[in-house]
Amino acid sequence: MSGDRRAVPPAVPGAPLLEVEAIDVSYARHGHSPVRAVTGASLTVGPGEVVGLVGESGCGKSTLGRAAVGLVAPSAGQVRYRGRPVEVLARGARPRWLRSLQMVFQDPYASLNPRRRVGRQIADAAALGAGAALDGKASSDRVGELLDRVGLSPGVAQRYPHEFSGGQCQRIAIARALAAQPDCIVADEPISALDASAQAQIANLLAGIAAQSGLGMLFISHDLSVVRKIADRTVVMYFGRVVESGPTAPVWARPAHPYTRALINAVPRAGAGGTLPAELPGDVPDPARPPAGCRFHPRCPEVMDSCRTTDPPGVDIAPGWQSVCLRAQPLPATTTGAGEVPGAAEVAGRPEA
Amino acid sequence: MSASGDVVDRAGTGPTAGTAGPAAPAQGPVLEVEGLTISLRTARGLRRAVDGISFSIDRAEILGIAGESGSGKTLTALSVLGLLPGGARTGGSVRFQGRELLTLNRRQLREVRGKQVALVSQDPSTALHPLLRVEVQMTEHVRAHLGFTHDQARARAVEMLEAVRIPDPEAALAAHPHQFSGGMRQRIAIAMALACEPALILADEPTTALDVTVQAGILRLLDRLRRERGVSVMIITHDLGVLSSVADRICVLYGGRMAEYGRTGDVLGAPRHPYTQGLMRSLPGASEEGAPMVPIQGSPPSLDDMPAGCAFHPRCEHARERCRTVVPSLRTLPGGRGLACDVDPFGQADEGVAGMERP
Amino acid sequence: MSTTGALPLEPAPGLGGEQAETLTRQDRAALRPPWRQPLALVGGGIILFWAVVAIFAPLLAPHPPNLEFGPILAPPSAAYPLGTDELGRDVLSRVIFGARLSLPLAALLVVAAMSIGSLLGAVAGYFGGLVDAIFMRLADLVLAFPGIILALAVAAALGANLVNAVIAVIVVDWPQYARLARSMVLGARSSEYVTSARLLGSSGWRTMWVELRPNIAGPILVLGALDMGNAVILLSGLSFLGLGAQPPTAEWGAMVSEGVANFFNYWIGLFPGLAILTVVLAFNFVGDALRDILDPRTARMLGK
Ligand SMILES: Nc1ncnc2c1ncn2[C@@H]1O[C@H](COP(=O)(O)OP(=O)(O)OP(=O)(O)O)[C@@H](O)[C@H]1O
Ligand SMILES: Nc1ncnc2c1ncn2[C@@H]1O[C@H](COP(=O)(O)OP(=O)(O)OP(=O)(O)O)[C@@H](O)[C@H]1O
Ligand code: SF4
Ligand code: SF4
Ligand SMILES: [Mg+2]
Ligand SMILES: [Mg+2]
Repeated sequence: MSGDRRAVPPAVPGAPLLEVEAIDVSYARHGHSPVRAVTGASLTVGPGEVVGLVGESGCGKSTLGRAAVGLVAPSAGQVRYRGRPVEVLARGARPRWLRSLQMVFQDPYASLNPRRRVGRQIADAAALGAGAALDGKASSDRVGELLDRVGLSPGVAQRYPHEFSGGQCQRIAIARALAAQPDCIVADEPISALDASAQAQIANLLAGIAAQSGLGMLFISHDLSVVRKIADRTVVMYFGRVVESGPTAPVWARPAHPYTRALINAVPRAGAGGTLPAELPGDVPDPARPPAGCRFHPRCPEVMDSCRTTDPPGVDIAPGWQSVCLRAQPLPATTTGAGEVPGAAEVAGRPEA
Repeated sequence: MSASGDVVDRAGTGPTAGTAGPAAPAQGPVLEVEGLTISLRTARGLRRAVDGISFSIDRAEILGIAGESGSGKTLTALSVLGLLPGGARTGGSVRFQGRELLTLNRRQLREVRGKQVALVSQDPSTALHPLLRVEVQMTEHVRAHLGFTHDQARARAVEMLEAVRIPDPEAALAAHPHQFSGGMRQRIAIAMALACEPALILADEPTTALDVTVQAGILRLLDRLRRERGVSVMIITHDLGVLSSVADRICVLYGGRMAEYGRTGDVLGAPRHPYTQGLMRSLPGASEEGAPMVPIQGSPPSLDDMPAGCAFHPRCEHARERCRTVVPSLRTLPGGRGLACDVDPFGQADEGVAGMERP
Repeated sequence: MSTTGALPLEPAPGLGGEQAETLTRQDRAALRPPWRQPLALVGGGIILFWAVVAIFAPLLAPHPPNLEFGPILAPPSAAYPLGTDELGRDVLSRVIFGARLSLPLAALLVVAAMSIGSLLGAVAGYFGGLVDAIFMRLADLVLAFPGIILALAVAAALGANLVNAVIAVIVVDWPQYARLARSMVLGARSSEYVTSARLLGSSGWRTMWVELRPNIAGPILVLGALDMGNAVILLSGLSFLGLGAQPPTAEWGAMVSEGVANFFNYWIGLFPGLAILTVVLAFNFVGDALRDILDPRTARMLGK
């Protein structure tokens, strides 16, 4: 059963579940200089924790997520799972101890094999991922159990993916990931391709799974309001860099980085009553020629002269809350509690429904 | 109130008077859709994908169409342009500036399309040819429709690129589409749509593929266009947040029928249809802090198994026996609102319409 | 600019541009199942006919194929419906027994070429690198020659008999399967369902066999159906040139060859020729219909 998978003990007891440490990822391009999609990015995911990763399109979120599970190789830095370096997927089968680190993708139809019954796909995932090669009855029981867990009737196991809606396919993809008895899931925009009502269903499902089974989750999304809702911590990326990371509530209440503020203000709200979301002028720079100094300076509303030349260091705003900005100031020690930040309501300015 | 948000005056008498731009006939809506039905030929026979949709858009107004995948939003827009898939049958009427569009022939339609009505689609790459420079695409369009000379067309193209805030329009004209980011491509597609000074822009999920900061730019652009140029906009999306920030009125579709329509503030502020209500409740900001979101159960119906009666009944917590068989009629409420729910569980008691039974 | 009074409840005539109309035609063709397409039906009927003929040849043929008993070079008549050849053998009986050779051998050869080709192509596509370079250069090499010429050379080198002719045709035939399999595996390899399987611990071979095979099988089988006709032609071509079936074997290509030698006794070559023609056409009809029910993108990979 799952015993042999866990037979490899964590090399470093007490290490965080998933640890991305200062990784660089570049993509080689034919006839061009390589694109540096991620530069010196770090984050950690603990058991039972949902970490939201946000940022604009092309800033390197997916690349970071793929590096975290070993789908692309970092050119510098390291990714560790349970304290051991994550092996990059090569020709051979993925090592057993890594199979409890799973991924869920954006396009629910593309992530299921179109020509195989969904029940078979889940059963195979259980056999491969959890080492639970069960016989007929036990296997279909397990599939039924997993389908039930994601809110589908066990009877649908005999169907093919095209017979389901996008939201249902995403549930099946999640069931398949769960079949491997994961301890950590990287979910790359799992709700972006879904309908309004399915988005809430899937986000709830994922958050519920993390809470119930204590698995860690890296939740990549450009829907900031969902991240705010389900993430314990939020990591903001801009142009290949992590610019701010910290506990969700205080980060939202008083974002320390100008880019985080711009992102939050750009979210349109139902009940806005004609309040247009704020625009962030300019476009993401050319990855081949990153701006000098702070990478955000060409678009930053609060740019100073020193920003154009100085690469800003990370500043600890409070324990576990960092901002990479020259203007960032540590908070006085008394005001670090989530939700108790003075002026939180004014800064966020989001009337709750 | 967020520091940088604008409040648009919705109570005013309309857009700034006397703006340049396309003059719609002084009175009457720019677009009037009445009882539109669209049936499509599918593998299993003719299926009604759009069933009795009616709405109108005034000059300089932004109308939002909301609804889940397959609710008929795109088909409704395409019917205005006469671009429905082959074999589609239509009924009802679509009047643009008083002129019936559903009976126009191909040549007449082509004149309307692109010149007076422009489409901005979800995927900007479908609007832009990847191998042609932006200049060629923008000027060809203007010259074909307005009979401009090359220099006039070029000047117009520069003007439009400026209007959508493309930095250095001259350089942009010389570039190929792939040299721009997704957000910039979408803005160029909008500039192209604007170049012929259309009276109406149909924006089909113009921001779904974009991230929030770019989306905010596009929404502000649409809002500015209607204020400065008096353009009318029909914006299609399933994001209620987007509608709430730009649309004057919205129309919620479900399963090809209208569920509810009215002024944005009214409909989203106090939704009457259980479906709209459910959508509002499922928004991340709507539930208690720390509590899970409250999604609508189930998934939207497909064309092949549209439920009988009210299309929403399998997912509706307020469904009664009659909902399974009787298609609720769309009735008018005070304040220019419309509702297609016979049970009306969120109706105000004093209106006295909630209990009315209709055949 | 007058307003139309009446509501157009009938289908509006102006709707749908040129674009839309071509769509309809494609839609209609795509929606119709193969068993409702006349050509596919005709093709299926002919294949069935020849299959029955091949299976029941001894019962159907009036005479043994190699018995030299009749008048020499008799034209078609009631006694010899398709005439006799220069050795006095009944042409009808020989055409009937010819089906016993041509059809099973063509099928065998296509299955062999398909298996070898798609395996090599899939491995090349999946693993890439050196394996890919070697297999695909080999395929290019084969494809660089006109099929019949290369088959001739191989058959000649191996020695003139039917088995060697079959081997020669397999050598010529596998690369098209390799190409198709490779391009489909390349397309599917980076898809998310394959990535998911790999993350779950699926090995390369398992991924290819379990995940990719069902997705590439359809187009390859269609290519096989289209290729059957081709295989029949190549095989009879070799026999025609004397490198395949040897006298006195009743083989269609060899019979056409004898017909050429007796040019003015048209019946000797015509009827086996017609047999080849009908089989080739039948497989093409069926293959085309099958291709239409594939989705358009994979159909394009199959060419035409
Ligand atoms: N396979 C690849 N080859 C070359 N460049 C790539 C590749 N994948 C991504 N990139 C580039 O790397 C950068 C980061 O891409 P990535 O997909 O990680 O962004 P993202 O934040 O996930 O964006 P999105 O929100 O659009 O998914 C982009 O500039 C992109 O063009
Ligand atoms: N060319 C077509 N042939 C057959 N059915 C079609 C065609 N185009 C649309 N449909 C069907 O008509 C219905 C309405 O489609 P439409 O594209 O208008 O939906 P939508 O509301 O725009 O959805 P989405 O949010 O997915 O864009 C759907 O059930 C769809 O499957
Ligand atoms: S370092 Fe300067 S430019 Fe960069 S985010 Fe901070 S204020 Fe803006
Ligand atoms: S008519 Fe009935 S099923 Fe439909 S929305 Fe109203 S209560 Fe629900
Ligand atoms: Mg991504
Ligand atoms: Mg649509």
